[in-house]
Amino acid sequence: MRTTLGVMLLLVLLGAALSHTVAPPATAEERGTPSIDWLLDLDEARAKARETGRPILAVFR
Amino acid sequence: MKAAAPYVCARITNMKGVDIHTFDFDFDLTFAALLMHADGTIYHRYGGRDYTSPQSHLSVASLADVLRKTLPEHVAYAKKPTPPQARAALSVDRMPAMQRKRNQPDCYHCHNVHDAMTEELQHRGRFQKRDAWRYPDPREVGFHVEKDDQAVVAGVEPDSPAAKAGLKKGVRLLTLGTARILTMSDVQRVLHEAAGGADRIPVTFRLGSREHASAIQLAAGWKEPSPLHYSWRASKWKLSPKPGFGGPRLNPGELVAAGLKAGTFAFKVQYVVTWGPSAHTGRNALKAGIRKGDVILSIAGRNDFESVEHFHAWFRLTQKAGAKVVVELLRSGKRRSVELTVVD
Repeated sequence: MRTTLGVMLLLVLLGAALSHTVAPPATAEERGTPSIDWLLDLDEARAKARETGRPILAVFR
Repeated sequence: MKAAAPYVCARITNMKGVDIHTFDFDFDLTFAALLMHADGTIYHRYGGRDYTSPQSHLSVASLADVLRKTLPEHVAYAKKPTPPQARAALSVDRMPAMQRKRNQPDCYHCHNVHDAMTEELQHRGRFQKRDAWRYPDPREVGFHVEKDDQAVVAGVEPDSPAAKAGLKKGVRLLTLGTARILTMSDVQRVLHEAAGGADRIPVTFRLGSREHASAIQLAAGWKEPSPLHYSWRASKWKLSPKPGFGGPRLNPGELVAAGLKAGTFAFKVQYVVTWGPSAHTGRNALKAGIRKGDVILSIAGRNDFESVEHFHAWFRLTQKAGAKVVVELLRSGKRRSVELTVVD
């Protein structure tokens, strides 16, 4: 009984410690990588490129 | 990827409704990218590959490189735009070959565009082998390029047109024809647009700190692809003549079990085509004596294929209807030879 309680306490303490030491994965923004808003329509992409003056990267796969 | 941030990004997984006159690339590729202006001007193409792997020329470094280098071109172009001539839009699902099909798919793969082009010409009885000589591998003129910096020549075949033009390993291509070169696909596009007869393609390149201007002299027939270089293309399956059978290459264990030397090219006949529009080719193979389960050892004396795809490309690109080829095979441990008359 005492051993079981001891193991459970150890697991709780270990879990609490890990939750403070293991950071969640960084988001794209935190890594300094801007997230990309991928459009799924080429007409929309051309309209947005005309409006903003930006070039288009069209990926086909 | 930071380098993509200045771009309007679009990702297309279905070619239905995509205007192939505007978004024009090597449709056999499993990954392709166009860097372009809204008016339809294409600055660069990205996504070329060779027969070794679909990823042979795909890397984050090379894509980031072309994305960065294209931005100043876009700024310069915007000051003096020269939009391409307007053409009526055409998408794969509107192509006559697809319109004739009873059941049209909802999703079209990129390679379906080449399939539809080939089918249409075959339907009209106008298909010629050269119609399938698309986006030649730079190896056809004697050179290949690096993966991560694709304007850099990775190797040159001695005595090839590229070698005679002065290209060497390590030179940086600047222009080919009138196009600025940043990628393998840029090179392939210039070769794709060349007619295929005797030709002279101007090339400029940098070696050390010096720039050189030269020309790649091409003899008639240069565009006819090596079956090995062509072997990866999905569109090869539409080409004729077809052997009418196929299957997987024997693995090392199967080679040992069959009493064949390690590294030998041999494949097992897993299917004989007895269905669909090519059923006559399978019936022809059966008539010649080829059976499911046979192990094919050589065809017309050749067993130097790098892959089963290489064999299929070789057969389609080099064989002619009416020719007789000897097929050496293994059945129940015994070698035998059959004669296959090639049918179109």
